[in-house]
Amino acid sequence: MTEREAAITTPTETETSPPGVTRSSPLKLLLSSPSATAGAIIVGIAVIVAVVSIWWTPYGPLTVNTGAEFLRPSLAHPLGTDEYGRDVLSRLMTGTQITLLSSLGAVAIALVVGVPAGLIAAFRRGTTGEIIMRGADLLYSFPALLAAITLVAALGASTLTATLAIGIASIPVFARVTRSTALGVLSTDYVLAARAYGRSSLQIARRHVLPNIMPILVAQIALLLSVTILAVAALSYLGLGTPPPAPTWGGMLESAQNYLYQDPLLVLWPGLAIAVTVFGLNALGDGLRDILDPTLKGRS
Amino acid sequence: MSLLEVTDLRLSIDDTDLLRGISFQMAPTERLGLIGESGSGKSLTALTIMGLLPQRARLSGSVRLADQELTNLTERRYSRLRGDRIAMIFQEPMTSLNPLMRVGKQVGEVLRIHQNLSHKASASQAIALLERVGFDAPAQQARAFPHQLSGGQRQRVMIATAIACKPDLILADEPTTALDVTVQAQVLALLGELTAEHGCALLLISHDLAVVANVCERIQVMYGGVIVESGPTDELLRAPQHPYTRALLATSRGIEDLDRELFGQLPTIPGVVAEAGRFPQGCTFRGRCERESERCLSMPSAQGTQHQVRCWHRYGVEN
Amino acid sequence: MLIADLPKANDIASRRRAHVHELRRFLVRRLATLVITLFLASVLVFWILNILPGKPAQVILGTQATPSAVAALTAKLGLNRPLVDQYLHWIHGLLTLHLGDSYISSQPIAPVIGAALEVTGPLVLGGLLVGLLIAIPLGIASAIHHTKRSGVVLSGLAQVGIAVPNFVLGILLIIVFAVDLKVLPASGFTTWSTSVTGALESLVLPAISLGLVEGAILARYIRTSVVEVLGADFLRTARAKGLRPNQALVRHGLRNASIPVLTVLGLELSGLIIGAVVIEAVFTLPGLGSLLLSSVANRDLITVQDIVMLVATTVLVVNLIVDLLYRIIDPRMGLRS
Repeated sequence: MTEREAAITTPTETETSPPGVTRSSPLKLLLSSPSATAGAIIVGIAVIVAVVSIWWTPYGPLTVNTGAEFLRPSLAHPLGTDEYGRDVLSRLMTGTQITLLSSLGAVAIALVVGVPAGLIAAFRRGTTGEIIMRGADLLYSFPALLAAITLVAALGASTLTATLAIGIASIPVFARVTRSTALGVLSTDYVLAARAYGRSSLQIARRHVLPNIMPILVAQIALLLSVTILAVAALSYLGLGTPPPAPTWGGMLESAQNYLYQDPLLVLWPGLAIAVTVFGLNALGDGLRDILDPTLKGRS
Repeated sequence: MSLLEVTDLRLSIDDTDLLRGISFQMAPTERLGLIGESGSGKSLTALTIMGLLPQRARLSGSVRLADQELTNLTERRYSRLRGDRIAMIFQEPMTSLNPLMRVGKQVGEVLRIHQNLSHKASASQAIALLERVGFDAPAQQARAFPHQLSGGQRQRVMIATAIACKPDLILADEPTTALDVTVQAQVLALLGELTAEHGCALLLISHDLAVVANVCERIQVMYGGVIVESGPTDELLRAPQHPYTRALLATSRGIEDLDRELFGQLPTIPGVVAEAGRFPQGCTFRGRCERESERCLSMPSAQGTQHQVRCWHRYGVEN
Repeated sequence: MLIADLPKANDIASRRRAHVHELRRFLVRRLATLVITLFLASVLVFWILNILPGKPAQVILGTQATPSAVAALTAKLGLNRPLVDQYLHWIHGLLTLHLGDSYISSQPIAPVIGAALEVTGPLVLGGLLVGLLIAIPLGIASAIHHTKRSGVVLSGLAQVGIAVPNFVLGILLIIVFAVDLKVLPASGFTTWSTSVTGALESLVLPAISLGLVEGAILARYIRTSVVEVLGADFLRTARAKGLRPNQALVRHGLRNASIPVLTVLGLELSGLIIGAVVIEAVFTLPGLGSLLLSSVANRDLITVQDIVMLVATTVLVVNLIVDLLYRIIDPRMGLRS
């Protein structure tokens, strides 16, 4: 037997669960990638900050303190104060909470609509599938930010509008990933066999398709979160997101830009918060993808 | 005088020993077969001669082509030899051709590099070469992209490229493995015919004994980064002395005998090939060999002249 | 000699004719899809902006306005007609390039958009230029050295570049070059007719902020793509023919590597166009983005509709062109969408 024949007759059953996901603990797997570990630490810190800020911040994030405007960083105000004497650290912490909630909400919308849509498109490859994917293409050709601006024009600026708009615009991401992965799984020999044995679409989706999509979805969620955080920040920077005085990273940037000559540091903090969080999510997403889907290793 | 002289070639990548003292010679116009299982180091031997090893590779020993040492050549000077005096044909004709370039241009390129031909001259030469390797309408087929050709045709394109500059030596690494059995014979015949016509030597690498036996005058058997046996083709086939060669021959003959296959008695070599670079100390065939003894803990030296064997317990010879 | 495996030559000629035929059919099909997509997009945009609550006349006149004044303005703007009529009127205007009059200023919108494009067009092109100038060398260099430390540093740099949003970068550039060094303007735009150099100067920082981030993203794609090509068998063949490593990469690698990059270039261009909206806000440039945002703030919905459709059309057309381009570059690419 030649080497090629040997390769062809290798049983394909082993593909049901992607290699690498088998049986070692999730934490150990995470730690095996420096990129994912670093990302997870950064994202973890952001989540902790957001949760803590619900109950405690050093000062009230909205508390105006006349006479204490533009204070440089000190022990009392580690990141200084803004143009109204508000504590920047407290505002940044509360801003984390708003940013993460809004981004998570958007990703949740995209996930809940996109995954089933992608699955249906994969199973019903006729007119239904075609309509779904054309719809996805239509949405995809509409940049998220443009969709958000349109929706804000209609509904007015609010956290909900921003979340909704970014979420809807992100649906195609999940629909496409789900569909293409599902199509790949559906064309494998063992699914063809399962079909031949008369298993229903729903059974096949649950037993074969979803387990295979899971790892890709998990990585995609992290990567999409970084995109939505950028979009949420951009919208609030443009004054189209959560309206003031609620502290948002984008809003803080926007108002700090008016005082560049007095206090350029004010720009730095929210800018850094956005960049570090996005960096962490990207690192986590890339790392997760490498761990969970070794075939994609090296691709960006 | 020999055309190619390889002496004590040792190669390691990332501290894994892959070639462990390879020495052989090739006379001008000689057709030498190199056989072995995957991981035995036969492709690496060819890549070493071409000077196309990955940068991480650590190499010692000597490769001389017509008395010129190659291992210490600069990249610039080595590149002048490649394609001109030594050419190589690879296993996968699909991936070895640039998918975005018309095949005629790919054949002509080697002429432009080495003979400074114009686009026009190289194009018409390429068409002549394509005709020579068996294309029936070469002028039109030269304008095809690789994906429009069959596997056999692609390998013919590779052969046309290899012979374009009439090299002294062609290295063919599993040139027919990826092809259908019916096409294999044609491509092999073409290769043999052309090397004879141009008087160039051929180093034919294969895991398939039958392929090599049909084309080559002499055969070398590799196992675990070592040449375990080498000799004239008929002698080696008739009276193999190394236990590995014997086992290899037994398995090839078994395939011809379909009856035995039906009864599940296909002869196999016991054990599995060690992972590349994880071969045992001493004789590389230790652990799978039926004649193994204490002496095999040390590497046997090559014995014999025309027919050389590295084994303490040669078959048919009083040790 | 046996040539059983060789298809006849006229086979290839007829295949080429079939290819041209396919190309034409592909174009027709894609253009049809484009028109349908644009139609659906226009319906969607119109529907969102006109069905959802918030009467433009009420917003324009303020909460103090009498109901009769609101009704009068609504009638004047044609907003009391059936929605289908309004939609057809708008779409007819778009097709005949009569973009209508602004709800707020009653002035025709087309010239206003034209003036804005004089800012946004050069900004996007400048951003693309900056992006490519960064991405191509950075991507190729980090691919060639991808096993060495320098390659890791380069791709780390790209990773950081991706994480910094363009508006943050823009503000940082303002701090360095406008506030500290005072070499370039922090905001505003000198019109082309006033001074070409002045206009260019006011676009330098915006174009850099816009292009740097897109360049970093693109650099990662280029890196991946080049790394893949560097390991390709045909590159080894090229070396075996006598090409030196760099020659082989240039003659055989880059074209192959450009195909996957082209597919994302369309997306990157949409990113640039939409990024320009934000960057114009950072540098207070009077471009399309600023016009869009001020129209949103003023509830000048007809202008919003027009701009959104213009941007969406541009994005779709750019993607179509990119799609066509890589099908032309890659002969293997089937033309069935």
